[in-house]
Amino acid sequence: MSTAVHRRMLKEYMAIQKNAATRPHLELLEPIQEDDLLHWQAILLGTADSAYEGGRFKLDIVIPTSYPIQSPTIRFVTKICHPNVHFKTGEICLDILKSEWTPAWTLESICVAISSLLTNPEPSSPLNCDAANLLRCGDTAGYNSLVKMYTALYAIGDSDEE
Amino acid sequence: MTVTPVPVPTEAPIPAAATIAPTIAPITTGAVADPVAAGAVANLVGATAAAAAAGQGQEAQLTDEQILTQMQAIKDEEANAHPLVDHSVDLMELAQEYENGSEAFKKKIENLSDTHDRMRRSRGDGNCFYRAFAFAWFERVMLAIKSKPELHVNAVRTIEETKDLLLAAQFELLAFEDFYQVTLETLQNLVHFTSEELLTAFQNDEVSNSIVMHFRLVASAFLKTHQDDYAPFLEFGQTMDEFCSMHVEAMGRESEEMMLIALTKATHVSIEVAYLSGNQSADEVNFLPFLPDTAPYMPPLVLLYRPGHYDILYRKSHCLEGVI
Repeated sequence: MSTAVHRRMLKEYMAIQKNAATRPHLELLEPIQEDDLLHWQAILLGTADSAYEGGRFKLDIVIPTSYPIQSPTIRFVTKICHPNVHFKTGEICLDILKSEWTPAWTLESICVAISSLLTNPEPSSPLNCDAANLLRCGDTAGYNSLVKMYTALYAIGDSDEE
Repeated sequence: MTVTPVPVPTEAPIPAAATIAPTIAPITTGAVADPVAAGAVANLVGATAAAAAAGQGQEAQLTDEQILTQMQAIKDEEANAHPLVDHSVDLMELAQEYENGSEAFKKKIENLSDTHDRMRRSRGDGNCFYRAFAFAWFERVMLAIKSKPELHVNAVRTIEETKDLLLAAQFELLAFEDFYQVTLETLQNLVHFTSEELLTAFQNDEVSNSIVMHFRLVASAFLKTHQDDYAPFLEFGQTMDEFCSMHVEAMGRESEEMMLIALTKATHVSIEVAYLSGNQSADEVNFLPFLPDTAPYMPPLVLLYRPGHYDILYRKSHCLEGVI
């Protein structure tokens, strides 16, 4: 399996470089070290006009040797306030990363899906109950200001450290 | 997080084990028609009991994901005991499995053996239909490579055309081309393959699973590009994309009739499925045909279905020379 996964990751790497201009919210998606194609990082940019605006959110991506039959493990390294992201561990609750993973995904399409999760939270399956509860009781203003505060605290400026 | 029902993508023939519910009763009391499955049932019951106990006592500590992982581990352990595709065996070996089993099964196998004399097992890992289909098709082509070379030409063309089907269904070339290449190369290699080499290829995880994956994507692409015909059969509120990603594209998910129809039509290869069930009302095995829209260019592949599982059957009237 391992040669197949390396071949695949190399192809993905080349495709990502070619597509760079077509995905404005993905600043970066690449292996952390050139010689390890099974450990990647990504940086998502908060969408303009959202509470995440201006934020740069780093993801850590671990590829199993059985990829793409099995899903990659992806977590936020940058602290982020979001109903479907664990505030401490960065774990992401997204069906396509878990029970609904299919090998038709690529790292790039997965990152785009995570990026769209930021502005389309799913408060009914929360990993961050405080954030989810604000949304569930309709307090959008409260939710947005909480998100803005954490974005400013952790994701804006020199905030690449964990 | 609560312990919610988790679909068990296993192929052990136990419909009742399809959900992890605190109710273990259906599994233990439900008639286990197939003695082969007994071991799997015992394991599943154990796991279900553990999950249920945890559900009562410390609900918050067992996440859906942990349950899935646990179920997967049990499934893998069961499955790894068998090769992905096995050597063929005499149908009498199947009869022996039921020596102490139900009369209905024994009678049906006896009747089946009038017209069929061998079978080949496909591993019960959730992918058995796709693997059995691919192997039976490729083997048929290989055995006829000299006498009917047009079968090979047709098969190669069909597989090449699946690339366009996948692109039409909006799959990314990057996501499917490795599976496609392995499938096409294996098919092209049939020109010089021996029966042993074909079996070895299908027993190799990487090759075998790539072929399974390709056929899964082909079935999915066919359903997605023929939504008008098939969407009415989905559960209320489910879209074809959701159905396909959950039940067709993901490895290890069992196939239903819709996938058999899709694959038959997408590849122009007809199938006959022999339904071997514990139904007492008939002595004969029921054969259900799955036909492509075009006239089939070779006799149907024959699959043996027992609740939850597909294997390959060999019909006496088909050319069996070289089957190992």
